[in-house]
Amino acid sequence: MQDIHIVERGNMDNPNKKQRGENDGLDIISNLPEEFKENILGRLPTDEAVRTILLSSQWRTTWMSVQELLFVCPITHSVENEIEILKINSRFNNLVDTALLMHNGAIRKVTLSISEGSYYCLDQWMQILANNGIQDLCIENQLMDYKYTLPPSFYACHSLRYVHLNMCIFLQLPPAFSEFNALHTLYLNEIHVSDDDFCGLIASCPSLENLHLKWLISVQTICVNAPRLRVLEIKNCYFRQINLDTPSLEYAWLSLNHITSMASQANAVSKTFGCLSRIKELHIHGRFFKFFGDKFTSTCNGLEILHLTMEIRDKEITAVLLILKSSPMLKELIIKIHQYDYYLRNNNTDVWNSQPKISLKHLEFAELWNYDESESTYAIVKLLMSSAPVLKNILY
Amino acid sequence: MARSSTENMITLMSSDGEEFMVTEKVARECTTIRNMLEDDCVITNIPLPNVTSDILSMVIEYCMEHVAAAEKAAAETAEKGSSSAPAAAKANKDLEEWDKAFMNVDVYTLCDLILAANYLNVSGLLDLTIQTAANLIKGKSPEQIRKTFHIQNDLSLEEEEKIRSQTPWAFEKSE
Repeated sequence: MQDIHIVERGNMDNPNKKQRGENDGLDIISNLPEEFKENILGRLPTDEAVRTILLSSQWRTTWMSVQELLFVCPITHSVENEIEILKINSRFNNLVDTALLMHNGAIRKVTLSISEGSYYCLDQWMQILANNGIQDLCIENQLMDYKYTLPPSFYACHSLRYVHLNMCIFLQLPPAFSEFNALHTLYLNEIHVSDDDFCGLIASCPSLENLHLKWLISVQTICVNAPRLRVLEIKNCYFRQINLDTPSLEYAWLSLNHITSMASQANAVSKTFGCLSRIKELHIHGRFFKFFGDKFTSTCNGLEILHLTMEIRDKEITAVLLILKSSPMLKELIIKIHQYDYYLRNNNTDVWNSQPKISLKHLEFAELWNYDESESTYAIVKLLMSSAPVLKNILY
Repeated sequence: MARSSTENMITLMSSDGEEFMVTEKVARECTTIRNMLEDDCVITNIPLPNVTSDILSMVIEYCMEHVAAAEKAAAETAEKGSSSAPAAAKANKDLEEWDKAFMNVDVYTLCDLILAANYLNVSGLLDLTIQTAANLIKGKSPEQIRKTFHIQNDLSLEEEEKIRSQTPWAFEKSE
């Protein structure tokens, strides 16, 4: 028995870094259990992973059972010669075709980064993946190009659990589409979709827990009816109306860039906040509050973290006060004050004092961004000091 | 490093009989050990017949670094009442740099670490080592990969030709 090492950080003499001469020349990686080799190959672009079948007889079939495939078409933006572009595209299409054909195990996850030259192949590829029980799918279009419509075979992938669609894909629900029963996570980034198809898609995902929407500029009404949704992110969207029916929501990030119609907004946004009984963390940015006013009636008994961007105007202040009043468990509050209306700031200290019953018993940390010496920002600090007895830290 | 006297120490024994005394918190980074401790909370001496001392000491080093990083982040959050995003990003980056330097090992050690990380069920280390192995393959021709990992090519010329003809696109770029 050798000495006992009492191991602490920093006192290791790094015996590990020494070269272990006795192993020189031994092939250890080939003898690793297949699952590790498959895991390694699953992290390589598929053409490189396929190339390993040539290493030795022990690697002949390893690739064929890799469960994760990554296909990235070389970017042809800077290639001017059209024949060269055609060659690159045809090599890539050939690669995906043969790889899907050769592969003889389950395919769990596929990432496809494609350009125009592959649009016509996608239906066939998706058909193969649908038959293979594909679970995780990421499709990224390399071009800003609305011509590309997601093929009908996409809707035949009934085992999908995770879907990430990126860049200008036109999404149109087929009439006979049933459901993505297992889908729990959906990312839509720069997708062109109609209001009805968006609403229909969400309604067809009864297990949806995570929804991330970014640059969804074609959707006018964001309608999310998802009983199991826990995480919702809406970033850089230009919707006119939002209707959320999401009783399980725990985390929400809502930012609104722009509203074209204001008529129905107050009502719609208040509906957004009508179902936040389970929310723990809420981020509200952009121009949300402008249309929110005094409609807030929900209680957020679980809300611990609130980050928001606001303008110092009467309506916005009223809205923020209503949220604070309804969030008795709040621990962390960050308010970022927008500079849009600098000159309007000084006259609304009364509004800040309009809600005398605010009690932030658990608030420990508060931060104000763009704080200035104006009476209005001072009013926020005053409010926090008087309503938050355990506040440890206030930064501005 | 200051250690409170109440903290439990666990002795891990490698396959070649070396003993390593670590805090329970560090040992718990290995899910396999955590499960043992949960089944039998008085256990203090754990033999690990599948892991040699040099590999075990590396696994422990990894776990200690990651425990320390997590403790530091928690302490900062507690002190300020909130996690500051830039500080957290920097801490993450530092840890990534540490991981990168830690992975500066020969291919034998790397393969042994993959097996040990899997046996002890340290998911972060398993991910790191597998990714490192993938990075060593990336961008290399079959011949270069064989050289890196000392793989003997036992395919006959005819077999090799047959494989190439099945997937000509796969071999265009590299050779």
